[in-house]
Amino acid sequence: MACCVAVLIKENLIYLRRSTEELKFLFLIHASIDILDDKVNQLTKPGGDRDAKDFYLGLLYPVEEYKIYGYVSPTRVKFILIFEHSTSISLKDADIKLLFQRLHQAYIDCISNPFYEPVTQLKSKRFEQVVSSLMVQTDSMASSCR
Amino acid sequence: MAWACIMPEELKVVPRGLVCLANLDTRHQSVHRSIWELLEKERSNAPLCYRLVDIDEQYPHSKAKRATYEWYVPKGILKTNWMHKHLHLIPSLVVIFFELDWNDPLFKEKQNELKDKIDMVRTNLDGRGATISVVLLQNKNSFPTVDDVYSSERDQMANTLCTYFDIPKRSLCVLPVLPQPDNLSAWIDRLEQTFIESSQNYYMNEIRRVKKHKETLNNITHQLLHIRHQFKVGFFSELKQDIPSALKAYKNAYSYLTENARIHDTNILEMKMVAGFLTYKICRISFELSQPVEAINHFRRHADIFKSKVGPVDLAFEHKAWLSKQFQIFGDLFALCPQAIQTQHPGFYYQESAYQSMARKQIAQTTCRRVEQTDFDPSEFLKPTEFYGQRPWRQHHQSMEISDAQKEREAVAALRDAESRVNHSELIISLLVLAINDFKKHSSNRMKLYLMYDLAEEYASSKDYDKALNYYNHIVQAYRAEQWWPILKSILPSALKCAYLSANLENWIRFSLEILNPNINLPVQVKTQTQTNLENLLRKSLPPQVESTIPSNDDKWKVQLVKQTINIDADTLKGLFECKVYFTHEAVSVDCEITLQVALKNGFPLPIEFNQLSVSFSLKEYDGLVCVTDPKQLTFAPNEQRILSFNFNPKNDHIQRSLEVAYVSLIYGNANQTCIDLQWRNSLHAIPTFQPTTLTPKWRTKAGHVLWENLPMRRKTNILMRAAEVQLSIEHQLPVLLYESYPIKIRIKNHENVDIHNATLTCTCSNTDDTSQTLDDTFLFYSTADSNNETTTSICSMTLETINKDTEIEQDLYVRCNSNRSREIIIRLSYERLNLHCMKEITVPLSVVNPFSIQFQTMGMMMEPLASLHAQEPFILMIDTKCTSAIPITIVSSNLKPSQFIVNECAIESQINNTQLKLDEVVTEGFCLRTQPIATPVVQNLLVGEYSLYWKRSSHPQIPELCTTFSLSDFNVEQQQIFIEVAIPNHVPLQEPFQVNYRIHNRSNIVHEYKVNLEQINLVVAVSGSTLTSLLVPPHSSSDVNYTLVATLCGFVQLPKFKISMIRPQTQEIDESIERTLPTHIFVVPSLKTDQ
Repeated sequence: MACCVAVLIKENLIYLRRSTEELKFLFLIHASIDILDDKVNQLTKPGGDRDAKDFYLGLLYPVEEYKIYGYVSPTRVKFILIFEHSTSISLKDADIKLLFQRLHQAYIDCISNPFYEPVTQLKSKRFEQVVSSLMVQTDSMASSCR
Repeated sequence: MAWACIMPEELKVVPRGLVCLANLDTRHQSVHRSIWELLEKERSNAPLCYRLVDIDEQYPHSKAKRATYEWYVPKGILKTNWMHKHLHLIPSLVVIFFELDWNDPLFKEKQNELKDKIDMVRTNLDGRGATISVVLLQNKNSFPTVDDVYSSERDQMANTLCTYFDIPKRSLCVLPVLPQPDNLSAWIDRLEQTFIESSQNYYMNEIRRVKKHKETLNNITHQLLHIRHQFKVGFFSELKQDIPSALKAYKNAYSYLTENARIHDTNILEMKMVAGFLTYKICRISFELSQPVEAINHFRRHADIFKSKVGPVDLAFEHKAWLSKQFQIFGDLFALCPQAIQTQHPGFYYQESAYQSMARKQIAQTTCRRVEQTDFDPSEFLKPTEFYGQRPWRQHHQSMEISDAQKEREAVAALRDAESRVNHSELIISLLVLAINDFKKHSSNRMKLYLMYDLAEEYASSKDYDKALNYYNHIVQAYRAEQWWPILKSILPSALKCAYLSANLENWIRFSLEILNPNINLPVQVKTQTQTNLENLLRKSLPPQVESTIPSNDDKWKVQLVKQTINIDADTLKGLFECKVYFTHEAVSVDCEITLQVALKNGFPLPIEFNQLSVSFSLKEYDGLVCVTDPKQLTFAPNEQRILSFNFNPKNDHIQRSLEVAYVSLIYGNANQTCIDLQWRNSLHAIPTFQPTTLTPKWRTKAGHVLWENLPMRRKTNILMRAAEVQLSIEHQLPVLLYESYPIKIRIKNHENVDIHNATLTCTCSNTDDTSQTLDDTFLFYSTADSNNETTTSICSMTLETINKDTEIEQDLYVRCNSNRSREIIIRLSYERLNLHCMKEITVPLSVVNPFSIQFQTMGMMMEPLASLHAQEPFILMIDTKCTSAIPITIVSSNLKPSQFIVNECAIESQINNTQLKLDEVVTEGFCLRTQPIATPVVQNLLVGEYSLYWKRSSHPQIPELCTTFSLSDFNVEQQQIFIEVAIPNHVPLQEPFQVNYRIHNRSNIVHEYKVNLEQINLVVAVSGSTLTSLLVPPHSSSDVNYTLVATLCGFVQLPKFKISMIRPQTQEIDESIERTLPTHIFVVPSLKTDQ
């Protein structure tokens, strides 16, 4: 179960949903900006292996209780998913990549709204629905695997 | 918590085989000392560890080895003294040094003495398998040379000695180092090689011995022995420097422990501890072999396996302590590895270690209590044990049941008592600091902030408020800079509390202001309380009110409230209170007022009244001009925005300078007491941000209300000279022709409301092209009369007496350019008005072109082109003048002045007077000239004469014409031998005889005889009389040949062909080209009407 979903532009948090009101999530998301920036720089370094389609950045850093995954859109919008360590063991990289792609698509749909002002908080029912499904669906996936 | 976190030193050292050196007198013998120093000196990866021992050193006794383990139940896994014993006490090799020369006179006695020593050592070793080596120190002079190294005699002696001592032959070494060693280190290196060999042999035997036990063990009662034996194999392998085998053995032990061994509450500590030791060894070896991934993976697995194995609930803190220690140790090991990267470095492990310690602290705080009065001795339960990880009160206990419940309860109480005395905060802080250093090193500044928050909280909880405040300050600033309000929201209340408790007024005010920021989403009552506290503090000098849970700190606060000004960098407030400055004009002329608007926007949740607003400028003279103290203007309702406007006059001395707002200062609080000075500096700079402009307009604006974001900013204005109220215009027609007096008409119109007196009109030429520094190729003058005046220069100036109000005056300016480059003329009108200097200036760019080009060519009398002139012969000079500028020019006249080498055949007069030329039009005139006789046969570069053109631009007839003179030179003149002059009428009437005279000039120095023939071609022109004749011409004279001809047809008819050839001298030929100078045709007109 994804216990936290976040969307950032540069270092601005434009969307956050967490399963519990824990300050720790905020700190973890904030701290992962360092890693994301660094990974994106490495990815786009001139001469580097630049595959514009693949912006799934994988596991960002090791924390005991959580697994933090990152994804960057071609316009450098950062997506972060946090899973609880215990539930994420059954998750494969490919699954998580899929989740990110759904999230990314939902984001694109959301900002395509002409009334959305760039770099402000995302407020969209559709987006919320997708996020909810991410948080629930992975839950059911994990439980079905058990 | 020493018992669970123990990490024995013996485990941490890199094991090296122990070699005991006996009978080495390092104190008195310098050679002995050098040997010892060389062996003992610090070396990385030294293979052996040396120890000086007395010859009668007692070694630990060897226990009787049991033949079978069948009925044996092990008491524990690893004895606490085992590693120490093998590292420092039990040698793998004992080396006895002895001074003995082969040819020593007392050889026998010494040999016996040595034998005694060897026996003593052998006895003391008591059955341990250590080898005994003997090193004979000999005189280097007695050492055999290369030839007789293998001399059988010595070989024999050595063999005898070995047999006598009962040692193998390779254990006997000879060191020729007495009395003074040469190249000792090389000898020692060789010696050490033999030591290593013996030492490794010993450990190999030990390993074999331990491995042999394995067959006799079973998996039920001997689980502990399996682990112990594998550990021992690993340790001996390390001593033997066989690292891969050691790693394998440790891994075997670890997997046996985690997979096969029974772990239950009574032995869990022992299991965890040994697992920790094994993990330490495995990870350290992996890092040393540069396999950090291996180490990390092993450790991850280790942590995952044991994280859930808490053990007895009463001692949960013990588990957390152990876990914390595991992470810390791994961090320490990782820190030695250079391959750390941003996502995998020791910081993460220190961080986790700190978190485990925090968890431990929490458990300890809730469950552990001091035991004041006991009926048992707590120290009894903390005694050292024989085996690692066992409980002192039930050592060797291997059953799953607890036999003595009462004792167990007492033990738990004693351990909790010990735990309650631990200073957890210190531990946590040191771990967090380690972690922060690592995150800093790996450029993870944001993660660092997270840890700093933990650190601040930890300091606060240990009541070290000042240090906590330091960190709070840092993280609050950082999160504010990134505008992470949700985090700030959570941090700020604790930061404020901390500031209150340490009675730090400045920080308290700062945090209060941060909390009041509208972006911080705290409950209304918190914000209201904060602002009320702030106001009470500043207005009424009351210490802040706090929740009842916090201990009151009023006494300290009262001391703080003295007269002081606290400067706050208001740029950072972002949204709480904003300020914008705007000079209404980018530039202000010195006779106008400067208008400065200061816009303020309030974000305080409650109405607020400030005491003073002032603006400071870059020019100190203006400070104080903008200052408000009126409370009405400085009282703001929530979300109110207000624009204050200020007018003031610029000062005369500041012309051409710019006035900048340095900072805006807003004072809150009475100046006699504590007050806050909010200062805006950097945010006043209007930075062009890349914020996307919103495509959708903001509809929700009330009419007349300006959105704060749309308010302009300008913090800089320039003070200018008073602008001249005149209109300065010019009229001219480019391009400028080279050398002409180029006319520019200047018009000045007075728009001032009075007459202008004594205005100065100055015209200067500025070189646009810096490369040419010839200043004197431009001349400026106001009247053409001055054009050739020597005083004209590149600057001219005049004073205009009076320019009447609303009138226009005109002034001509003439520019003469003597070169082709482009240039600029600056025309400047300046005058005084109201004691202020006024000026108007225009710049005229000029481009200069050549007005015309000249081409000339020479021709013979028959209009045939001549490559060179012929001396004493007539020729025609043709001059083409082509207009090359877009400006029409008028050629007033022209003049050719022949040089002394030339005579003119006819009068020279200009044929092109008053001709107007447009672009690309050509005018030609021709002159008939003759060259004077020349001294040499050929003359080069003859000057023909000077040609002058008088011209002017057609549009300005009143300007005097200009004379441009060209020199006509570069002609070649040749002396011809013969020249024929023909006298023939221009036209002849039909059928009337006419005379043709050919005069032949001989220009040579000898007599010429010619044959002359007028060849009849047709009968159109008939020749009368003989046509063929010969002719004798003396030198430098001429003879005539006359013919009478009659034309029979009208028109332009061909003449008979005149032929001339040389008879004498025969060597010379007449140039064929001479025929071309002769007329070939004649024009025949009908005969005049006669009277008949």
